[in-house]
Amino acid sequence: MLLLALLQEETDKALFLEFHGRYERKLYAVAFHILKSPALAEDAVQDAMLQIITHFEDFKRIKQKSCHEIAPWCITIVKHAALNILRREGRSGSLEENWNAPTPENVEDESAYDRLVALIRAMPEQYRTVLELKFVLEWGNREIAKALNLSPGTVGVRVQRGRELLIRRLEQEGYSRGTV
Amino acid sequence: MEQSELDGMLRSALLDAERADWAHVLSGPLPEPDFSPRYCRRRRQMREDPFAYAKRRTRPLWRQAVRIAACILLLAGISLGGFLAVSPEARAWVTQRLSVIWGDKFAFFTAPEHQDRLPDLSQYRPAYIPEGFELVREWAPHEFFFTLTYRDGAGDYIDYNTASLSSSSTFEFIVDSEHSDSREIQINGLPATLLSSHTEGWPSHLLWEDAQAGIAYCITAMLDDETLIRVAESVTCVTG
Repeated sequence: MLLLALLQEETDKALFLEFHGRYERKLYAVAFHILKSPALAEDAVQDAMLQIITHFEDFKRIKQKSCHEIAPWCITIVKHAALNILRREGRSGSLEENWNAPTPENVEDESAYDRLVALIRAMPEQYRTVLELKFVLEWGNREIAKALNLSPGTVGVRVQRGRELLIRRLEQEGYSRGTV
Repeated sequence: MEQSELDGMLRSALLDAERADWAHVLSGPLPEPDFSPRYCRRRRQMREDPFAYAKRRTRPLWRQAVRIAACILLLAGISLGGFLAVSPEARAWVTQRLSVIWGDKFAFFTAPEHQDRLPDLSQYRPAYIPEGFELVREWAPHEFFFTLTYRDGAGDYIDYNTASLSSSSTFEFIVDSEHSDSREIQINGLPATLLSSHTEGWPSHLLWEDAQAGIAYCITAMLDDETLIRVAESVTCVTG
């Protein structure tokens, strides 16, 4: 039993080291783009790697399900690590209620899914952040609240509101709820 | 569409949005960062044993603090109890400053002071910083704490931290003691603790407090003892 556990740990370690070798500079590039500081970007990469290790079961599950999801998943983690540093330094923005969503070229040509992706990309970061933490990293409201210095109730409201904003915008643009 | 299906689609869309957002960064040539020695050191430790490293790094500070506080209470109760009861001088010393080595940890605590006015911590800075170091970060999350970070071209750093000895807060500093030797010294006539690194790539720490100014100081730096002490002794109130 102990031998199996040790073997599993060695396998996990090898998996992590392979990931670390492949992604370290990519995560650094994202962190540096946000923070504009080599020292802070290093801190963000370090924080992100720690999170990935502590959520290694999630990492393995995602990799097994679809290895294409690993890149955006770990980018989400390092992005939040970098935004967290910005928040600590008081450099994050205020909550915006509205956003300038890009106008659709032609509803007939663009699928509801593609449109949803485009709307998310233009969404205010504060709503997008809670949606990412909730649905991509699968954190609970309490964990998100702690990370963002909000009350769990506020997190719940933002998740609900962020989701509704996206659906309402899609419906306003002529996409039916059934296709969303 | 069911809520769970919608949430599943939302998750996929969030991931695709992330991929699209960062495509320009990731598809271009990746940077060849000149990582700092501090980062390289941490990376080496992480890669040696990622899971043990993460466990060490994410261990809640409060758990360490509670364990150390329990030790202090025990020590105070057993060794000092009788003495404190009869000696006001001893009581005054203990309530000002406590440091203890517990297992592989060194802990330094200040006790709350009763002050009418909090010092402006940002006014207290080292007048001497070794050549080659530049100020890269100045951070004051609140009025009780102020920090300056200096770095040099080789990635070595000096972290200068100050905390006010207020009536409502204590300053706690906990560090691994296995990489340093502790000794008591004086900084401008004030008692101080120097944790001198004996391990390549680990910083030294210097801690002291100035009860008159109402400030606790902690400098963590990749410097030799003499230079570190010189930096500490140069700390002055810049507005005089």
